[in-house]
Amino acid sequence: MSKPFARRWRLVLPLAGAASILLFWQFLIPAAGVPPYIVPTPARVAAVFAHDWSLLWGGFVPTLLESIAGFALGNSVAVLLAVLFVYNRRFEAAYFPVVLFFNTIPVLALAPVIILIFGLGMLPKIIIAAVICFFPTLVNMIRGLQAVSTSELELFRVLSATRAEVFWRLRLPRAMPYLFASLRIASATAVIGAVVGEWIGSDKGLGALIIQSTFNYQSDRLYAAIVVSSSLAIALFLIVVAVESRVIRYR
Amino acid sequence: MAEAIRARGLEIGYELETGPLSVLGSLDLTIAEGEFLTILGPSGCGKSTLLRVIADLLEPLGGALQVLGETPAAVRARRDVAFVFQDSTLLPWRTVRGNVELPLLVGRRSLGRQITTSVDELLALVGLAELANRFPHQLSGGQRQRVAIARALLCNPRILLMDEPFGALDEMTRDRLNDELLRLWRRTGATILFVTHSIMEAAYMGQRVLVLGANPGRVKTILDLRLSKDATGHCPREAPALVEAMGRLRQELARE
Repeated sequence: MSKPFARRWRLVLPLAGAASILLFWQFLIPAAGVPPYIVPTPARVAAVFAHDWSLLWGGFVPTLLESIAGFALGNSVAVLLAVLFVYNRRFEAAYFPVVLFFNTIPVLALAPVIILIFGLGMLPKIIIAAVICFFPTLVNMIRGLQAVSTSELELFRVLSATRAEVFWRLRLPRAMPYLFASLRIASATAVIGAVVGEWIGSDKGLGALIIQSTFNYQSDRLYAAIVVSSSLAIALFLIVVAVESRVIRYR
Repeated sequence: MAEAIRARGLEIGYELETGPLSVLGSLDLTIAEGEFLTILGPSGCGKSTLLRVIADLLEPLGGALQVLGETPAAVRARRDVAFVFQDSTLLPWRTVRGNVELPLLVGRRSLGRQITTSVDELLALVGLAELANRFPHQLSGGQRQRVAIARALLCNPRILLMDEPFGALDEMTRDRLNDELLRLWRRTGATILFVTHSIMEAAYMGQRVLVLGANPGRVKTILDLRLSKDATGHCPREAPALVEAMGRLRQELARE
């Protein structure tokens, strides 16, 4: 009989936990004498959603577009490069160390470089989001494409399968769980990339909104923008999970 | 009867960076079409390697090998040879039916003939009709091997190579699958080469048992059991002739 009990509490407890913290915050912060322009109460943040809805929406749309475009670009390039690396060991030996080095550059150091090259429009933000998605997917995709067993390859050889068939019917489906593991991470990091890009050079998007409201001590707006960015990341994550459950039906 | 396999001075092993590594040398072996040959031996005697050379998964290091009077490559391309692996090697993203149908999906260009086997009949034949839409992770080990066998039989191969197919199963499941395999063998008339490390399985299944030794890999003996079995190749597990054969196999394996 403990199972249904436990299931109900699995939903209730986290909600109760979050609510308790919000309540605590709502009453403790003013009581501690922290001014609202430094840390706003949850109620003031909620009020921003009511009053400045169009402002938040105006910031949300560019960040959404940049995140999705960057996600698509970074992951596509990573998947294609992974295929090249797996099928051409010399190419991998020559270029994987370069990619590895590239990955060690902090994205915050790379962002100004990309803005210098690509200017102030949406494109540099898309590229920063793409760069940040790229590396985990590359590494996971290489591992996934190589995750075939000897007997699987022998099976395909006994069946006289072509190289293309081994790729489409064996390596690619084998790689799918690895790919989706990195896509889930990328769904959140793409938003981080877009926001970071907007910090450095933009007057549009959630990143710009965050910077502007910080400098203007509009902490309630700042917090609302944070809530929207994190909701965006969660939404993208849930989309990836939904697609994953349709693609990988066998677990 | 026609020859399924004819090896003369066959040397098999692996091409390593340091040079060829011979596992089993100077093998002379003739297997008639329709024969059930079990191959018994310790690890490293080359029994799996031999199957891989016949299946054209490995090049022989030397000697002559004919499969159905042709090169292994020609026979593989035509799918007259099928392979069953110890791990069932089912693709986890395909259902039971999808796995059995895999040979229809890949490598068709080299096949040059139409496959007419009904997948439904084949699934019924191995007792999996009810499970056609399950995924491999929903099956037991024995059921997975049945799927692998059904997949191997789809193209009506004349030679079936089985590399310890039931080695990972519990003994009761193994006994049942042994009997089912013998039934399929009688029904299809295929030549079966069956690698095992079980003395019981080798004696019960094989018309002849090829006993290999390791270090260096060599043929110790070929034990002919056809006289102990009836016309269909059957002999009860507890029959004195089989018990005696198992004793002889044990002696051969122990002999240096």
